Parts: sequence; structure tokens; C-alpha cells
Amino acid sequence: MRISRRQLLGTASLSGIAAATGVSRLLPAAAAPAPLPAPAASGIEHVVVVMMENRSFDHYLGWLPGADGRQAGLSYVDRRGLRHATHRLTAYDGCGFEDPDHSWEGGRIQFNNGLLDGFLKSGSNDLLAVGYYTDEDLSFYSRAARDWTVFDRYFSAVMAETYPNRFYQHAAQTDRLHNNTDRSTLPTIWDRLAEQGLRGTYYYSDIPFTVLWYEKHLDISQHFATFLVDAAAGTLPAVSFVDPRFLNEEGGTSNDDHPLADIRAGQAFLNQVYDAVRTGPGWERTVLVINYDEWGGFFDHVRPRRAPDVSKKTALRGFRVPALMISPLARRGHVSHHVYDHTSVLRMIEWRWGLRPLTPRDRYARNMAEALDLAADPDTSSATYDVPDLTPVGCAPDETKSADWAALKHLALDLGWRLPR
Amino acid sequence: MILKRLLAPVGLLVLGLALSPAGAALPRHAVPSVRTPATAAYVPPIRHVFVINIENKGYDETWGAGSAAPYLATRLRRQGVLLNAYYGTAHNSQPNYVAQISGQGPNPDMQADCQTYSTFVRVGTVDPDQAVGSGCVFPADVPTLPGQLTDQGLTWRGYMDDMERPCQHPERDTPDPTQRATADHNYAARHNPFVYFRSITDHPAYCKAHVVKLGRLTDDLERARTTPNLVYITPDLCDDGHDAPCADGRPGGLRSVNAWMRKWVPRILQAPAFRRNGVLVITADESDGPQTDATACCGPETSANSPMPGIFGPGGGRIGALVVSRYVTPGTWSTTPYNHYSLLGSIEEIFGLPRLGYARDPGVETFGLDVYNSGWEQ
Repeated sequence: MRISRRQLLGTASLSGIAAATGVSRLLPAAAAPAPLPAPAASGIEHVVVVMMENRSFDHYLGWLPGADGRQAGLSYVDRRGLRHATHRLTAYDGCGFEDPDHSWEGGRIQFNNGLLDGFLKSGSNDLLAVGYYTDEDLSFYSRAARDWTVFDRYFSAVMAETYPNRFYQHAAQTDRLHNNTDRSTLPTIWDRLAEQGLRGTYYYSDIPFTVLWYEKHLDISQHFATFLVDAAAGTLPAVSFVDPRFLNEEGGTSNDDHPLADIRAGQAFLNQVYDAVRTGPGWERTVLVINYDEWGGFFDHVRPRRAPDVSKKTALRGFRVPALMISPLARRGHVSHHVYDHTSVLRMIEWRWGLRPLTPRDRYARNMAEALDLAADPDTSSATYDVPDLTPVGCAPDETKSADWAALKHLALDLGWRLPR
Repeated sequence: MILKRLLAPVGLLVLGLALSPAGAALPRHAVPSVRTPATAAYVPPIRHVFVINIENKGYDETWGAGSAAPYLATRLRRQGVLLNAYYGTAHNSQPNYVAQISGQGPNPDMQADCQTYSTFVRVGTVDPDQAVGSGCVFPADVPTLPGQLTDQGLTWRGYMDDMERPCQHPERDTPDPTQRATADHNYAARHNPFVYFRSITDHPAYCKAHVVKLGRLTDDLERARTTPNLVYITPDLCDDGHDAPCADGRPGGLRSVNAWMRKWVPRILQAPAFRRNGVLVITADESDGPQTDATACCGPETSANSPMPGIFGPGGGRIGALVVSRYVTPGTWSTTPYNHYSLLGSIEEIFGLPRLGYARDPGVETFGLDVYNSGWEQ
């Protein structure tokens, strides 16, 4: 199915409203995007989406020149009435800190009706939540964020924790406000691709998020090792989602950037994906998107707004997260100031391959392809980044900590999935 | 608890709030005979605390979508802050109530709900203030919140629904006849923590003046000066949702809780004492039961007298608590982990009293600006 001209106009005007209310007050008026070419002539044959975990824009990329980031100089009052300044973190891992609250309810405490002053008032949040990293701490982003396109108005799709946001990435809605292992029946982007006879693959490092549909998406779910092979062989499908290692986030040994992880492991993982994509035969026609499921309870200074949604409960977007677009078709050294969220990635995929939208969210989302420079010839040059590999040592064992991924692992094993060893 | 790694501690505290509104606003009618310790800057100038416990209801059942108590879960909830990480401290009922007014942990007799109203035989005391021993009725020198209040010139009353006579309790070391409701009697001594302390029951006049029938509340709410500083209300076995159906044929469960709340809570909300500087806390004693949810949020994982305060786990499960006050923004959340010891410690902070028992545990947080979130301090 093709998207009609009327739908496109409707989308454009909605995005226009978002820009008028959100961005233009804070930033100089952004130039209108160039009209998009016909999707099949866009030069995009592969979209690869890597979704990391739990970092806010200010906390992680607030140092980026040309972007609307704030790091030093902000302060937040804690539950005891004490005001604490934002501060540069001195350790790569979060060992010894609490994982900042990023629940549906905790997000609303931090949001505080738009005052955005509650980052030290939710859950057991401690000073980790108002800490930040700079480019000196991030060996991949220090280069990649300067070289490629970064989005400083990219929000997590819903003010809620991991599973709801990952559901948005797969399905443009969520069927739950909190993480749990109930079976999902939401239609997904994988269904839409299959309807059109297109290939899509979900590549996972340890725990398959797609097991939340139980056996349904077993056929499109592959191990991360296969991603590396497919990228090298030029056999990546039209759409790939790639997930990092989730297990033992609480012990600091995952490579998904989720506290208490050592962030060097996440940087190494991203560099590995970057290298696999840019050195593969499909590079010229590939768009690599890096995003984060949600803000993880870390401070951010930009107010998220509501989006068209299936439910009032999930219409409020979460705080901003880091997002990058890397491609021979991408603008180099560019910062996009338009409002996007996870469903904007779906919108790009649906636009490119003529897929029906899943919900009002992706239907009215701004198309991320607008950030690409599709008028120019692909520029296949790409720099090699010096990102050391790292096996995180992890934190001292703490039996009071637990995470939801272990429950998902058990579900997968119970359902007979063969997980990476 | 893990020790937090200190990161560049110097310079992080850029501005400790210098205000002390609570100290400045000590009420004229409290007339403390002893100098009241300065209250922390995050505690508003509350002078009346109202506590209501319902029975045996986990968080989702009471506060979730489709709650059978819509007045409580929807209408009243919209007026307050919902503490969604508030936990019971034990199973079964009785030790939860005892925790709220003394900070004493459970022992097996208490966990069995004190079938016999037995004398607590103490063999020692361990930190923090824990009487070590068996039995239910604590020795006279075990400190309590009521004792602290009285010593400070502050007032308190326990209002017991369907109690036949003030300070009603079984004879010591005899079976408790109120363990089961009858068609005529729904009072349960085990939900009335005050009668488990000899510092109260050994003084019948004091006890009768302070542990009163619920009906007395109507009069006491009329004027702020007749409203105690601590108003502690226990609905009866039907009204608190314990029984379903009730011995007298009413439906019980959350339906009866709802009916009771609709009758009594508006009276509190309209009372001058509440409106001027009151706070209302509504919670449950414990989750549906030890096998359903015996988790703990925080605080001690064991107690001096019990390796498993929740029988099948460390706690009384997740129950939630609703806090309503002029110092609270309606319809908001707190996600900070709390339990009954937190409630005790929070009440003590309000009245400038030292924390008792497990309220002193380093893992027990007291209510802060996440709960008192109206912006009153600015």
C-alpha cells in the first residue's frame, strides 16, 4: 500500500505544529526539509536500528557542539530539600549507585507538570541521576557524534520504562506500562514487512525482546553473531534491529549502557556494529540508527510533549535520549532539531517500503528520512574510530538487586528458544 | 544497603535550604513542656496526623485499575500522592500495627496474630531498641509513639471501630475472644496495637481516655483543639475488608472498605484540624497474605525475634499508601520505597521526636519532599 498525498500533507502539518510549539521557541527556525524523493529511488535498501538502554540526551551527549545540551550548571533539589549541582561522573560504571527510577510513575515525578525538577525526588535516586559524561569519557561518540547526524529533539516514545518503549519500537504502541512477561499480541513492524514479502531480522546478543510475543517472532530472531556475518556478506535484510547484551545490568557487566554498566562496553559494542555496517558490501545503501529505549532516570532539560496515541496513558513521550544516524546518505557533522521518537524510525521504514502504519503514533510521526541528504550522491567515506574493546569486571555482588531480563531469559528457555551461549 | 560511592562531594551541596518552616510554625496550642527538637526542612508544619489501616490488601487490589473500592482508589486518590513502593513489614496482621506505633519487629506469637493475649517475656534487648523474647504484650518500659507524644505534651487517640468499651482487650495470658467476628461484634484486638503495650494498658484511666470507640471521632473532629495530634483509626473486621462476607451478612472486602471510607474520610477532610495542618495516611497492614507477597522494600531483612518477618519472606508485601494533605499535590506519585517503620519515623519527624526501634534502621527512609510535594517549602 502507498501512502496517499493527503496522508503526507496531514503528517507534514502535524509535524509543523510540533515544530512550532516545541523547537522554534528555543532555536532559530530550522530550514524546511527538502522534499523526499520517491522511496524506491531514495537509495535506502537497508535500515539497521540499534537500541541501547537508559541514557538521557543531556547526561550523555549534552557536550556536543551545536546541539541543545546542558550539563554543568544545572541543579536539582532532593527529597531532603538539598540542592545538588549536576556533576561530571568520575567512574565508567555505576557500581555503588542506585539505578535511577525510570518507571511510568517515576517519570511523572521527574516531569512534575513540565517543571522537569524531580530527578532527585523519584525512587531511590541518588547523585548518579544528575551526573553526566563528556566526550572524553565516550570514545565512540566523541567521534561519531561529531562526524554524523545527531538528533537533539529525539524523545523516548513513552514516559515509561524499558518494555513499553521497546514495544513502541516494534509496534508503535505498548500493551503495558511496566515490564512483565505477559504474552503480547500487538501487531509489529515485522508483520508489516512480512505482509509485503520483505525480509526483516531481529538480532539479539543474549535476551530476545521478541520472546514477549512468545513463539510468534522466533522465525525472524537471530543471534548477534549472525548479524556480523550477514553484514560482512552483504545479506542484511531490509530491516534489522540489533540489541546489545542486557543480562546483569544490575551487576554492571552488560554492554547496553543500562546502569550500572561500564559505558566503555557500550561504546565498544556500538563501534563493532558501526564497523560491521560500514565495511560490509551493503554500506552504500544502508542507514544505521542508534537510539536508546528511554532516559533511564537521568536529568534532561527539554520538556517532552504529548503525541497522537492510542491511549491517554501513553501519549506523553519520555525525556530525550541520544540518537544518531550514520549512513553514506546522512548529513555529516549535522544536528537535527526536529521532534522525533522511536516511531519516527518506523515511519521511515514504512515510507521506504510502502507499509501501512501500525497506530496513530507512527502514522503521524515525523519521518526520520527527512534528516538524510537524499539529493546528494552517497558519500561512502567513513572514519575508523579507536575504541578499545572491554570486558567489564562488574560490581561487587548485591543480592538486593534484580532485573527483569533474567525473567525474560527464563521465559525464552521455557518456550524452547535457543539462546546464544 | 550499599554504601554510596562519594563523588566529588565538595561543591555538590551548593545550597542546603536554610529555611526551617516547621520550626518557625510551631503551633500555639501544642504547648510542649520540653523543648521540641527542630524539625527537618523537608517536613511541613503538620500538627495532626490521621492514620487509617485497611486489612490484607496488596497494592494492585486496592489501588489498581478495577479496584473494588472506587472512592478510595479513584476519587480520594485524585486528592493525594500515592506511594506505590510502600510495603508491609510482616505477616500476619498484628506486627504491622505494632511496627507503626513502636518500631518493634515481629516474633512468632505476633506473626500468629496473638491467638493468646500473652505476656511478652523479655530475655534481653538488642539494637535498635528491640525487646528480645516471646509473647505479645510488651513490658512497660518498651517505648512507643503514644508515650513519646504524651511526654512531649502532644495528644493522641486510637479510634477503634465497633469496640464495645474503651481500652477493650482480653485478659492477659488468655485466648483472645475477638479473633473471629460474630454477627454482633466485629472489633479485633489484634488490629488495635495500643493494647499490646503495658505502658498503656497498665494505666486503665490513661488507656480508656486514649483508646476509644470510633464514634468519639465525630466530636473530636469538630474543633482543632479537640482533635488529637495523632488520630489512629482502625475500622472493624468488616469495614477494613478483612472479612468477606462479614459475619453480619454485609459483603465485606473492598466493597465494605469503600462504604466505610465514603462515610468517614469526608468527615476528616472537612475537619478544621485536617484543613489547617493535617495529613491523612491510608494504607493496609499487609498484602493478601504471606504466600501471595512477603516481599520487603527496605529496612531490616530479619528482626530480632524472627528470621522471616513475612513468614515466607522478609516483609509484609507491597501495599501502597495514599497521603492527603494541603502539603501534597493532588493526583501525584511517590516511588520511593517505604514501609510501616517509615511511617513511624515520619510521624516522629513531624512531631520532632527521636525515631524508635526499626524506624532507626539505616535502610528505612522517612517521607521527604517526594511526599510533601506541594511546593510549600519554597
